[in-house]
Amino acid sequence: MNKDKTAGVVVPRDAIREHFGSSEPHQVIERVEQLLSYKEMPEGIDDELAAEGPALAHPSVQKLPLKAYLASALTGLSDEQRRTIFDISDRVNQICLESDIELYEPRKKTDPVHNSDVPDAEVFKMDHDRVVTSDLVIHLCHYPSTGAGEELGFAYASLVPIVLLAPGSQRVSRMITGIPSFKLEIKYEQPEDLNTLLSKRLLEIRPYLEERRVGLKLAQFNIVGERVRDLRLRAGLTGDELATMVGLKAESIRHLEENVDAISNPSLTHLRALATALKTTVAELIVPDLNEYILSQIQSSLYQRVPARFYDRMTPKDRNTLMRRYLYRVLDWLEKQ
Amino acid sequence: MRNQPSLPDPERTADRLRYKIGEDTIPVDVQNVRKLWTNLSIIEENIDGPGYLLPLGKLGAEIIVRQADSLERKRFTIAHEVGHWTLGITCERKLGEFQQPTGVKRELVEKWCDLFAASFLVPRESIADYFRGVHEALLVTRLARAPKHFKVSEEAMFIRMYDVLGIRIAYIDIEARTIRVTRAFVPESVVPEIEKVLMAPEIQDLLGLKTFASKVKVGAARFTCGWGPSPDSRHTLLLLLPCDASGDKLAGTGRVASSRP
Repeated sequence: MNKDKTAGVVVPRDAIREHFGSSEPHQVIERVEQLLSYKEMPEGIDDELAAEGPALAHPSVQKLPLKAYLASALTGLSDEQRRTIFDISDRVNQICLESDIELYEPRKKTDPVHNSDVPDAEVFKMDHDRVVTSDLVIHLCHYPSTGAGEELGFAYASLVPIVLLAPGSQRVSRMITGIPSFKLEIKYEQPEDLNTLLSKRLLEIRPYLEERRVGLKLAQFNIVGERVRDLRLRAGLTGDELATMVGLKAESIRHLEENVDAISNPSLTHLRALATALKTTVAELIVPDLNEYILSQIQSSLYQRVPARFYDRMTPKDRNTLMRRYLYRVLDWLEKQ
Repeated sequence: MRNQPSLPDPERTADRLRYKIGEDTIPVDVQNVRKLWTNLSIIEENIDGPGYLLPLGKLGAEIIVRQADSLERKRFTIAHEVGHWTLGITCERKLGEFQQPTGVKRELVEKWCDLFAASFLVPRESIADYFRGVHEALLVTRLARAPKHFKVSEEAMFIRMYDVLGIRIAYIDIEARTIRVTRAFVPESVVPEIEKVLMAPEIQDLLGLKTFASKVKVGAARFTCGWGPSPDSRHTLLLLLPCDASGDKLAGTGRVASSRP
């Protein structure tokens, strides 16, 4: 078995390859067709209960699935401006689809007109989490927007590449064009031109986006949050008390503790304040030792995956029991390889 | 919130699953779900919570139940976790990833799984069969035996009775000339209604009886009402079923027959 120790963790490469790459091309196509043809939640679940059992492995699509976020002005637009944004959004969505990129359009979930009942805090959280977990942010620069500016700020902080789309005559704020991160600007004359311009650029940067996604795998674990929670509990502090000490709201502490690093992405200022309050160093918060790192990976994985009754009140004993079962089964499987 | 994804009908899902695994007798053998999903393990552990579903990717999943629980409780826990499993598979078929439905509050998912478990272990038609033709004088006795018949806890059985037949069931405490509800197996909003009926003079006149079951008229409303010893003989079990003007809902179990396809 090949062993890759570059990341400090032993990786059973053959097993991974076998897991994700064993399908024949026709199987991949069938699988994709199944996924694409699946309609909204069915009335019954006859298909799900098919006798052959569930498909437990993830779909063996060779191309890495990518996600993009569409940032644009939505609030305070005239009807005509909304129409323009929606037309371009539909076009961008189609281009992304053809480029195997799943585009998230906030207007379909948190539109200020059609979804005005969604609470402000939820809009912030939903859109923030979407941006920082995306592989790409596409910004429509047609109209100024504080919301879109904020989203680009999130993208910058999380090193998410940005594509700026603007009509040829449009002057774009220098606060946008000046963002010092991976950024592409596409100017177009007619909306139809986008079909070629955007799809070509997406094709060009795809290898980079895929590489970035694989490279960020480690950020999908909750290292900082677990560490903060652990130290907070050891210090006998509640979330509220820690929040007060560092000048944040209790929700911020909860968000940090419960989310993977890629989503919580605390700033250096926050980390310094937390480290001081918890009588530790920033390094201790972000670089736990290998054992703790592995443990946090498993805990994070369990946290995301265990649908359990009273999960919020799960005791450490139960958490450990689940972890033991999990490790036992994984080790058993590895031994049989 | 808008655009919340809907969950499938828990009762129909449970019916389909029972059909798929060929379980058509009572008590339902919940372990037989492994006929359909051989990669689903059911194990007992010394845990604090009642049970968990631990998805293991391509290795399937484990349902972990609390060793110390009664058999009835374990059966319900397993059925509840099977509910999570079927929801996870539904998501996997839709999104390509095993997970619980997103955009639905966790409490709703848990409630769905409870309904699924109750429907799986206590099928609607079986309740109808169990009570069909039973004389009202024997209703309480029959009711007290139901948990053993279906191999579920009293709590699960009685809540299911309310869901399916609308029967209000409670433990009551009768002392001299007072009657008090000590535990009700109905939604909280229904408890005052039970208490109101028990306060009626027509009922108060019957307090000297240790067991009782008959139709009772309280004001303009009629009820099939009765009480008797609970399954473990530690409580007095109250049964209350409002009858509408068209007749007794329970006698022919017409409500049951007409409410299912």
